[in-house]
Amino acid sequence: MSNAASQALGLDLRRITFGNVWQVIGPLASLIILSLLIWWAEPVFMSPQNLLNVARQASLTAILATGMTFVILTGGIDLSVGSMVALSSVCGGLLMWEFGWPMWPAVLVMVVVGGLLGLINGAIVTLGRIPPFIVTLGTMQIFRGAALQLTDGKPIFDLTAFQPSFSMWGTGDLGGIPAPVIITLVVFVAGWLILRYTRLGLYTYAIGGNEQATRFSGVQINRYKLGVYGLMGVTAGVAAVMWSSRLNSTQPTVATGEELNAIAAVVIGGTSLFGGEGSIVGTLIGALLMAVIRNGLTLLHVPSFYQQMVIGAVVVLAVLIDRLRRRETA
Amino acid sequence: MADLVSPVRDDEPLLALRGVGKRFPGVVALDDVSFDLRRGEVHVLVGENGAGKSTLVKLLSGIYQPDSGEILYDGQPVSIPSPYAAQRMGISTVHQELNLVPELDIGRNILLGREPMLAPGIIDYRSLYRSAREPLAALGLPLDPRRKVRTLGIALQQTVEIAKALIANARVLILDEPTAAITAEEADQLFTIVDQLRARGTAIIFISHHLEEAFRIGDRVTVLRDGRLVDTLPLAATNQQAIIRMMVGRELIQQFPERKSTPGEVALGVTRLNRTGVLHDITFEVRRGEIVGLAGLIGAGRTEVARAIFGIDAIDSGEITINGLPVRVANPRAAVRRGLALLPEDRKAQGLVLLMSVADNVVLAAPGQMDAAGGLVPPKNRANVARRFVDALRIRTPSVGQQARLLSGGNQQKVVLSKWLLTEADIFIFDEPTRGIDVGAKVEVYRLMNDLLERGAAIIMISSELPEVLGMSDRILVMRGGRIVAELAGLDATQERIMQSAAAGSIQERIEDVA
Repeated sequence: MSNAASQALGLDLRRITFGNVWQVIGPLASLIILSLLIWWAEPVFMSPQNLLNVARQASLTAILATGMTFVILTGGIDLSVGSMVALSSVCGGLLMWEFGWPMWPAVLVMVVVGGLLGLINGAIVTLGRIPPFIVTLGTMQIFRGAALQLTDGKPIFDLTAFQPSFSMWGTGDLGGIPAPVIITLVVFVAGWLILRYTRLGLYTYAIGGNEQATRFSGVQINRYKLGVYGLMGVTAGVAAVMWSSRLNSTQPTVATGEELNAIAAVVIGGTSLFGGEGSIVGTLIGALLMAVIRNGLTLLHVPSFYQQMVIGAVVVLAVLIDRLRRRETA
Repeated sequence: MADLVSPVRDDEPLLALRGVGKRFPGVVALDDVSFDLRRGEVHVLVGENGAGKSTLVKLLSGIYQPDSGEILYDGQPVSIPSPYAAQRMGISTVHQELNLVPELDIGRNILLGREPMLAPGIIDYRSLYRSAREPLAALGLPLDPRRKVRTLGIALQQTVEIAKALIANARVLILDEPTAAITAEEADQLFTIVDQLRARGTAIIFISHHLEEAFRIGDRVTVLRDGRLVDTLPLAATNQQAIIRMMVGRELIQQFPERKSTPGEVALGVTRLNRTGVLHDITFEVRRGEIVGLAGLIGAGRTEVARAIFGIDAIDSGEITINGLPVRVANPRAAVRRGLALLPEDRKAQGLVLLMSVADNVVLAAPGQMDAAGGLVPPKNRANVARRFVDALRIRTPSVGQQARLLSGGNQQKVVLSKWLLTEADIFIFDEPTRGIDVGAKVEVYRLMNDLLERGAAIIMISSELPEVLGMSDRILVMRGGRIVAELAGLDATQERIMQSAAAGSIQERIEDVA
């Protein structure tokens, strides 16, 4: 099709190649088909109550996966997100519990701490030129250790006893829609806008696609990488707020292993672990797909150990399908 | 290796394609192509980029399967299901991107996958190195098989690949643009090797962008255009012009277009630039409206000059002036801000983000040019900006949303150029501006360079193609060993003079240099 013709039709042909279509359609189709199957086996699945439940279950993973999408698009990885959630949560929780801080400043602290932890990761990655896998493998331990140290390894229960309003982030709702779902949507939309409309978004793809060419184009790679890891930290901070509120406690062991769920959601969503290719819409679908599988299997009374196996299989399958797609269009 | 010397029978082809077709989504890569290869011949395959040469090679080396037609080997229809199968059948390919393990030594590379064993799983290294010496000696290369491949230059690495093919008892050897990345002298060595192999009865497919080479080394030539066979004929019965006509389907009137600009003020000055062990006292200037050509052999330091000026590599001493003012270019960003533009030699690795769209590549260096509020770069604005350049530079792409990797070499180069036009750069460094670009598209690139000059740009052009250097440069600086050893202009500038200055020293010296 000619340029003029596509312009006249108002089409952006960018997304209309087979590979790109599959990138989003594949996971989406899987999500829909799976939902229909579960619905057929267990009608309760489609009840509004249960669907909101699924959305709520997806929220923690989806928020973290939004930040993780940026990191992975640059060709990086962040293994420390679970620990970042814990340390952010502990910091805010301690301020409320031990020092009697009001709710809003404490919440802000959680988000800011998350952002700072992310910046620490980014600074070590860029200035130290150390692979992100190694850096965040280290900080995963460091952040978790710090969280345990700060609380003496013990959870702080009943935060709402000190700050009743803190409950709004996890258990509140707006017009019947649970707060975690709303928070997730806000984070997701923000991520989508950043990725599509800002320099940070453009450079996120560029750095992952070809860091050298991007640097030779005069882009300050380090600054934008720092931004990406910072953003990842902020999403961890937001997740910390939501999760501590929902659990009504702050626990130094919270969100253990959650980094793997976030990475899984990104990968299921079609983003390449090599960077440079992928979409944040896919990530959201990936997170939903994981939640639907968990929820569906629970409704069908499948033991939770099997659920874990199924999720694992889906991750491998998603990458396998992606691999086949790439071979086709190579 | 005794069976390499099979009786040479010219009558019947060793390998043949009969009406072969290969399609990819949206593209017919090969359409009803027939081709035959005889024992003991060098069959040159030419065609513009996208003509189907690579696809043909990939069919023969087992990477692709044909959609239609058949492949005959020794007169029998065969299928070549995998690269491994191709090798087992005696079809070895030396790809442009070499398939060597840099961290392993020469011997282990040559016998990779066919290591002699003492017992199951236990490699007999003594016999391995002994076997590895054989093909190296046969190729006239007294290299130590225990040397790591990483330490070899590209030309020698290529020879290691050929040695690998000899070990595999190759009856058919496919050389995919073997001379693209090596110097003229190294190419001479390669031709000697090819001659030897031909004499032993090996059938060789030789792919090249350089027609002089075709005439020098080839017996027959096959021309492909747009996935179709144009003709196969003996090279003795044709000439370069005729082949170019067949390749492009039209007459190329003028390879180096007329230029109207004349040199003006000094745009860029470089004074006594030093980088220990790499560059020594580099001093030159470039005026607006002129092209300064940097000639020299690979490794002479030309690209290193470009990298130093562009702030990629730090310099130890020296001064750079832009428009007469001393400047410090600490990194590429500073260079871009000062109006410099680099069109790197390796477009795919350094010039483009292949996975991104044409539009995103165009705006990569100057997203601020899209005048959207708050520093935003909406996709729509990117597309609009990119469309301007697609039209102005006649970039052939179905849309600005097309991934850059799907464009041909010439169009990719235009995308890189668009990127710099958007930053309003006025000092351009073209490093091998037409490498891997079709004959027709080359002329377009030259025209664009002339346009830049007329708008007052200054250009440094690094090129290993002497006709290009001579045809496009106002002045030519010849480099050797990190120094500028000659400046040639006007009648002084001849291929002979350039080569004399560029190549003092023998191949042997350079083999040692590499180490």
